[in-house]
Amino acid sequence: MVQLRAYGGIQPLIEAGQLVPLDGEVDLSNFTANALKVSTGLSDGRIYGVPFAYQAFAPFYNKRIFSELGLSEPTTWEEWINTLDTLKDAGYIPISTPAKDPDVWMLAIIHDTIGAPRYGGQAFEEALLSGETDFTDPNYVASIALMNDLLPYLPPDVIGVSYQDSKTLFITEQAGIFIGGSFEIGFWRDNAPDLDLGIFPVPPPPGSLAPSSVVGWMDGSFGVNANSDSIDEAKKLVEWMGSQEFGQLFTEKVKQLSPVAGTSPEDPLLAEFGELFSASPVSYLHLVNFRYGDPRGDSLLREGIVKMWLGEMTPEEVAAYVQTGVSQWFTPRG
Amino acid sequence: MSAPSSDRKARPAPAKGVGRTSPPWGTLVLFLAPAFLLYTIFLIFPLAQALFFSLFEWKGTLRGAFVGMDNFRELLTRFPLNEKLPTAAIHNLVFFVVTMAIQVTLGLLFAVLLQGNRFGKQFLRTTYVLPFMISPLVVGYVWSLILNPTFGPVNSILRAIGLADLARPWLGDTTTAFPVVMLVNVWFWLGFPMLLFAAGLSAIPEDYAEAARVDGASSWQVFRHVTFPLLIPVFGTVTILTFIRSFNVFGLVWALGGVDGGPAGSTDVLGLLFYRTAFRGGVDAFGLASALAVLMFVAIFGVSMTARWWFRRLEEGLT
Repeated sequence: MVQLRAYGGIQPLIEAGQLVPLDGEVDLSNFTANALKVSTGLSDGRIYGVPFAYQAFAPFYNKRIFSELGLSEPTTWEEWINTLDTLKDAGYIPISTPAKDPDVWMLAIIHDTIGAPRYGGQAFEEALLSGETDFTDPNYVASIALMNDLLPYLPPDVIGVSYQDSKTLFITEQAGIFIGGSFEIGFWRDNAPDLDLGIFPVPPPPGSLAPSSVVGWMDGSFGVNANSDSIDEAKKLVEWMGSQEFGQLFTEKVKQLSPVAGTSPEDPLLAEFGELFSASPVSYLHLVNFRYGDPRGDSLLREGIVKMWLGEMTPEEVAAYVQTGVSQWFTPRG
Repeated sequence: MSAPSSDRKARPAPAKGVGRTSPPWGTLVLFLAPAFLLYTIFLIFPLAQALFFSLFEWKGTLRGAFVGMDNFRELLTRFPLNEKLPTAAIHNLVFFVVTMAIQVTLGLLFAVLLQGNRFGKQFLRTTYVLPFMISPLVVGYVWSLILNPTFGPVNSILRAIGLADLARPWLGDTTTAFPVVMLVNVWFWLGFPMLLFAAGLSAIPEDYAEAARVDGASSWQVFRHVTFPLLIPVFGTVTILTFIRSFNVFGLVWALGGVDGGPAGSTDVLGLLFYRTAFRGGVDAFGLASALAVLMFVAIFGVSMTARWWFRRLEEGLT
């Protein structure tokens, strides 16, 4: 049995015939069709894994700092910017974020967290996959430009700040907001159990084509090794790992969101993540769709964002960089 | 039992004045076999394998059809790989030049100074050599903590002594990141050229320098015209080893600049590019990465062999 990476990450194993197809062999009725995309072979459409977790992404905020400054969860873009200004004026780092290699992976997710409503969320994803538009779309360019608006609110010298540093700034209460994922909760609970935390979806920026949303993706799956001596037993095991019993245990013990129908997380913050995501879900565009070839969309985007912050690229150039790279292997379904 | 000693070459020919002859074949094979076997298994075999792999199409770990030079063509044309490859190679080259200029010069200086220094020689020598016994990953990690813009001591000290203007994100600024990586490497590997030069220096008979001094040569003249020419063979070895190391550098840069050689690719080197191609690429990563490995090997091997030949001629010119 193997724990598998998500979407594009699993394809080399499938192509090499190292995994056993599970559709029609194992009960997958606890999962939505969308969840199963995480372990579907690109070339044969078969399903090779039982999803184990999904992640959602949103700003965490420090409730103590917010109440000290008389702030509440922003519901409009104006309030969001006001919140950031108030934090900055009070001497806090408004948003703690890493932008140092190799932790730049956060940037592509933060871009979706802030910018998905601006480019149009799921409707844009559809248009992109069908070839009606591409990454040079003015709305996508505008969403990249939003990352520039964010820069004054990030830690000083953000390109030298690592993921650990940015989390430390948040738990030591030097920063008011940390834009992060549901996978962060275990770390907060272990390292800063007294920190009173809340989350909220980023309000849609001006000119948005879609309402406020929470970005998420399936994190990976459990599959069966084609070279296993006991394939039948392994199938039984992964089938159980797709059951409500396992899903509930998983979310309680590992503090992660389980994609199994009928499971509910114990941790209130985790539960809130789950609710926000199911209320207004949008896929983490690049991880879900643009990791099926080389170069990967998210690698190009985060590289572009750093170069934009360093003044070496404009939002238009970042978008063109992503488009040029991805178009070498990506063919829209037409 | 050992080979028969009645071999006609077994007794040294006194006329030649050299007390050595080749041992019999059996003994040679016996002594060389283990090293040769290890060399074949861990060097020749993987190299041949990489060359073989680079000529095929790959789907994950599954080998497909023979595609000739396709992987090489792809490597040199796929965007943005086609831009990153020359950038990374230039970074390796700069790394080599700077390392030669600073690390090797300092190594030679320290070796000469320590040579004449009776007091604390062993202690200092051990101290300088110490860093390069630590894993490059650990060295890189520790330096990244020291240079951390938010929590690191370097910026804290600069701010404390009123030099706040000099405090910067050392590893997060495209102008400082690569110089910092090279300087950390100088600190890290200084002991290596120093040790080699020290060994070279102690092999030079004291009489030469004495004779020169009797003839009225100054310390600098002794060094310039007697010691330095005799160190040319060591210099050749150090140059070639520094070249090979500079083009294979990986762990240190990985720990300091991350797998993408950040910020914005300013510390990217061939080793990182290879790693990304092999382990973060698409379904065809194996073929592409093998092609890159072959190119790197050909370049490093070619230059090293040429340099060896050149240094050997230089040595011969001196004797």
